Amino acid sequence: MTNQITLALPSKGVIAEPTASFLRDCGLRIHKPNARQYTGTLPAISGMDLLFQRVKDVVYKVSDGTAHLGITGLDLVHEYPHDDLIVIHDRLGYGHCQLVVAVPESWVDVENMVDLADVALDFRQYKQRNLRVATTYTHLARRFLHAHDIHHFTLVKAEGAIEAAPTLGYADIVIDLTQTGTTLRENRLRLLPDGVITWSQASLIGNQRVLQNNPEGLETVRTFLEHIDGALQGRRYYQVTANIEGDKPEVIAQKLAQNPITKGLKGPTVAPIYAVDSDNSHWHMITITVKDSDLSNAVEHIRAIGGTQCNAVPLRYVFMEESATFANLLQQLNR
Amino acid sequence: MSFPSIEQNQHRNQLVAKLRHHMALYGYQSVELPFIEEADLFLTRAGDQIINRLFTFERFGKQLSLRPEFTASAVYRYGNLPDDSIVRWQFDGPVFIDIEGQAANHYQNYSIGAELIGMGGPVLDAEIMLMAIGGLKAQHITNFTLVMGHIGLMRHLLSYFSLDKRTERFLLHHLTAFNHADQGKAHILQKIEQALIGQQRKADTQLTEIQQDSGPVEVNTARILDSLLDFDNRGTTMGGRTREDIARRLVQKQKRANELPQIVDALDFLEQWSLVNASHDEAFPVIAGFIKADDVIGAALLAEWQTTVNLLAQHGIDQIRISPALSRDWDYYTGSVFEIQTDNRETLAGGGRYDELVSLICGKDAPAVGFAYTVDTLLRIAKVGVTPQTAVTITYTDQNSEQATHWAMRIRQANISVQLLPQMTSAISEDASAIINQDGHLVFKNKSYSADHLNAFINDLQGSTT
Repeated sequence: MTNQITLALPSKGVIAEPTASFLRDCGLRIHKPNARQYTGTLPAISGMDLLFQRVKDVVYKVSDGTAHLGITGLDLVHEYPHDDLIVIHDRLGYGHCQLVVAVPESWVDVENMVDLADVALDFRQYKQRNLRVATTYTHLARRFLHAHDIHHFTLVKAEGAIEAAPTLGYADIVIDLTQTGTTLRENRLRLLPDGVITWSQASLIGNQRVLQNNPEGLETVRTFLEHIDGALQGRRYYQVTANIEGDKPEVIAQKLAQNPITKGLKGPTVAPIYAVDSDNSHWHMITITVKDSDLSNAVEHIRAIGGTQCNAVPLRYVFMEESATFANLLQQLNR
Repeated sequence: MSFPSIEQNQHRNQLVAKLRHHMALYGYQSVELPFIEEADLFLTRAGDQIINRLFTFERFGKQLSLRPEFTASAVYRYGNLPDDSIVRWQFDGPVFIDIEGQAANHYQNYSIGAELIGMGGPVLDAEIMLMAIGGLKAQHITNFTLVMGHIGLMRHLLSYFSLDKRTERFLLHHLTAFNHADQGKAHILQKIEQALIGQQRKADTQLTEIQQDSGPVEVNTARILDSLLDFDNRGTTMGGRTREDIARRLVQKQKRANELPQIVDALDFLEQWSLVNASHDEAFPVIAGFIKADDVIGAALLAEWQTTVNLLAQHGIDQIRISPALSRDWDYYTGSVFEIQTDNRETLAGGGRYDELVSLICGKDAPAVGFAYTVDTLLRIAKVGVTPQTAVTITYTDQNSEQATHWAMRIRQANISVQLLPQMTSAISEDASAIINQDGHLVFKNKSYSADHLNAFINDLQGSTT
C-alpha cells in the first residue's frame, strides 16, 4: 500500500487561482510540469501528489477515496454530503460567498421567507402550477425551503447564468451563490434578508476511510497542515518593535504586560540598545507579537509608555505547540 | 429483509385476482403503469416534502423515482388522451415508499385500487364506494364501517371567515388537534400566534407606510402599485407573476395582520365540525345547520353528499358514519372522502374525489375519483372464485339514476360487467346499449324489460353477443 497522499485541487473556476495563491502563501508552491495535465506536486512536501479537478469533482474524488484530501467550497461539501467525507478546516480565508434566495425586484410584496411561502401557495391556487426555483444546489435548496414551510415548488436544475432564469422565463426565483450581490442586482433580483441558506468559503476536506487506512501517510498530512495552520495563524499577527527609554528592562516589560494586547504570546522581549553615543545609553528595543485587530491600540499603548519608532511587520507563520487542525483531524479519525 | 412465503404470495394473488374480477364487473379495465416515473410527478401531487420518502435516482440528468402510488401516474396517462375522455382504470402491483421508522422490508407494499377520471357527480362517488365495499364483501368481510367526510364542503364553510389562504391551510393542517384532549382550540391559537401572526407583524408593511403618506383614504391598489412598481427603477422581470398578483397579496398581508377575530370564529366552527360523528340521519341536520340560509353552493354540496349516501343506503350499506372532519389529505381531495374501517379503526380501503389534480399535472380540467385497498390489512382479515365476458352500458339521467344503479347491481350479480354513463356524456355514441325508460324499465335493442324480467334480459344480452 502506498503512503502517498493525494490532494485534489480546483483546476478552474472562481477559487482555482486563489487556491494556488493560498498554498503559495503557506510556503507550498504548486509544481505543474504541464499546464494541460491534471497532476502536479508540492515540492515543499514529499509524499504528496496533486490532482486537479473541477471544483465540484473535488468533492466527488475525495468522497470516493480517489483523493485523500481536497480543497473546495464549503457550499459544495454541504450540497454533496457523503459518509466518508469530513471537513478538516472550514475557514481557509478566501472564496467567501453566500448561498441565497433571490426574488425579482418587482415582487414588492415579498419581504421575507414567510411571504415567499404565501406566494408558493398562490402559484398553486391561482396558476395551477408550482413555484419554479432555478438552482444548482438542489439538496440545500430543498432542505431550506421545507424548513420555511414551502413544500410546493419545482426545482429547475441549471448550471450557468442562473440569475437570468426569471428574465428568460424558465424559473420564477433563484437560489444561487453570491459574493457581493452585484450580479443579482444587475439581473433585477433582490436577496431576501432571511434567505441566506449558508455562508461558504474555501475549505479543506478529507476522506476519513482512506486516511484511516494510511497511517504512514498521516505524517505527510501533518506536515501539510502545519504549513496551513502556521500561515493562517501568521495572518492574524504582527511583530511590533519599538524603542523605549528606561533603565531597567523589567520595568519596561512590566509596563507592556499591564495591557493584555501588548504582553505578547508569552511575554515581551526587551533588549538593550547599544548606543553609539551616551545620550541614547538608556534605550531598549521591545519586540512583541500583536493581533492584527489590536495593532492600533498596541501602538497607542507603546507610545503612552514612552515608546517611539514603532515598526510593525506582518508575520508569515506562527507555529504553536502543535497543529490544532491536525490534532482535530486525529480526533475525527479516532486516533 | 424478509420475503413473503409462497403461501402468503398465493394468498395475496388470490385476493388480488378476486378484487380485480370484482372491479371488472364495474367496467374498470386493468391498466399497467410504469414502476419508474419522473419524481416531479409524485412531488406535484403530494408536495416536495415527501422527497425523502421516495426512492429516487438520477439518470441522464433527470430525477426518477420508483412509484409510491398509482394515482399520479394514472392522471399523467389520462393527460395523453383526447379531451373529455372518460376512463375507468384499475391497478395493482408493488409500490415503494419509505415511511419513516418502518423496517426495511416495508419499503415495498402491494397496492390495488381504481380511478375514474373524466366524470363527476354523486352517482360515481357512490359507485366507487359501492365497488370498494363490494370487494370486501366478496372476501366475506362484513364487519366494517364506511366513514365519510367532505373536504369540499369543509373548505367552503371555512371560506365564510374570509381568512388568508395561509391561515386556512394552517388551521386545516392542525385539524386533528381537536381529537386530542391536551390540544384543541387554545393550542392551535397559540401555534397560530407563533407561526403566522408573530412573523407577519415583524414584516415591514410597505402598504401601511404608503397609506400613511397618502392620508386617511381607502386602499387603492392600482395607485399603490404605480408607486411601488416603478419600472424605470425596478425593471420588468416579473418571474411568472402579474401586477394583479402582487396587488392582491399586498392587500392580503394587511388583512392578515387584523384577522385574529375571524381566526377565533373559524376555530369555533372547526371545533364544532370535528364533533360531528354520527349516522347520516343524525349528522346531516347538524351539518345543514352550519350552512347559511342564502348559501346556494354550500346547500348544493350538502345535497350532493346526501345523494351519495342515499344511493349507498338503498343498496344495503347501513354501516355509515358521517365524520365531516375525516382528515384524508385535505390538500389533495376536493369533495367527498371516505375510509372503510374495521371495528378496531384499521383502514381497509380509502379514497375520495380529487378534481384539481388533472389540471395540476396535465393542464386540463377533468374531475376524478378513486380509492385503494390496504392490502396488508385485508390479507390479515380476509379468509381467502372469471372475468365477465359480456358487458353492457346503461345510460342514466338525474331523474333515473337510482333505477339505473339498481339495474346495474342486479345484472352484476349475474356475473355480467355493467358500466354506467350519464346520458349527456359525449362519449356515449354507439357504445350505449341500454337505457332506462320513464317506467323504470330497461330498454335494450328496442325491447323493454321490467324488473321481473331480469333473466330474460340476460338471455337476450348473451344471445346478442354470441
